Amino acid sequence: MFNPLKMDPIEKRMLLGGLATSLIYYGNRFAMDTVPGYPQELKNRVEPHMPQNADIITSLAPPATLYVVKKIMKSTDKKEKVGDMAFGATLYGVPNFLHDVVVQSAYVEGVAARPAARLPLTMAASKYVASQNNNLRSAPQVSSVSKYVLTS
Amino acid sequence: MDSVEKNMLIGAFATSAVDMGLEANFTYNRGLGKPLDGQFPYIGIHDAIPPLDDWIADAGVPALMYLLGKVMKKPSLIQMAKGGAIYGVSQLAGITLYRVAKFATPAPAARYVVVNRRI
Repeated sequence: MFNPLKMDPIEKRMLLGGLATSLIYYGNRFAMDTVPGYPQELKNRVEPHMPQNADIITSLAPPATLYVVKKIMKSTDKKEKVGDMAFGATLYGVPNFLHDVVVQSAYVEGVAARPAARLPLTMAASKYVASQNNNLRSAPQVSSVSKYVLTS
Repeated sequence: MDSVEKNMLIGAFATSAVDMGLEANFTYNRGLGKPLDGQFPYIGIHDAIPPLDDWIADAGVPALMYLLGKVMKKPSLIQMAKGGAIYGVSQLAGITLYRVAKFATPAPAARYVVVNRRI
């Protein structure tokens, strides 16, 4: 039986990397929704099919940063640990970035495929009909065309 | 990259592919103007908990890979399940925390209404 408490230390570090990236990603999302002065540049999109700039950064920056830290580290032991965390961050960040691109593209395609909205009838309920309704004893027929109201 | 890391990456992408398939279907229909809210699998459990489609993709897929790996005695499938689990657990934890925070924070629009009423 799988016991998460008896996980391999390497797997634990990978999970930590993934969780850290996820927290950064959703922490930013929360800030985007709630902080009034959130920078507009981070809310913008490079292209309509792409996720918001901040989503791209928060998905891809943590693994990239951890890999850079791994390169800089001199101690072999720490290098290995940071490397495991970087790989865990990659396991979350890169698929999450692709997920965001596909989901945003699907939304844009859905909007593009939306059937055109019916234009409102400009002649139907004209002010001319309204002025004539004063002389009517029956309920005004708003949906009818004006000439029928005039002749009734 | 060694074979274990490759398998884990494949597992994470497989889990993400199911997640993105379900989510893309939802957003495509929302773009079309036909939202699928409340329809299977887009069923909300609670405002602070991720909806059912997230549980199916992020917990169901790695669990299925793990069970298949155990039954078929294929270590590669178990490694894929672990990669999928790292993606899935991180995603579910992030969404849950985000939803809990949103649930606990009053919406700006609501506050705006309250201020206006006072005026």
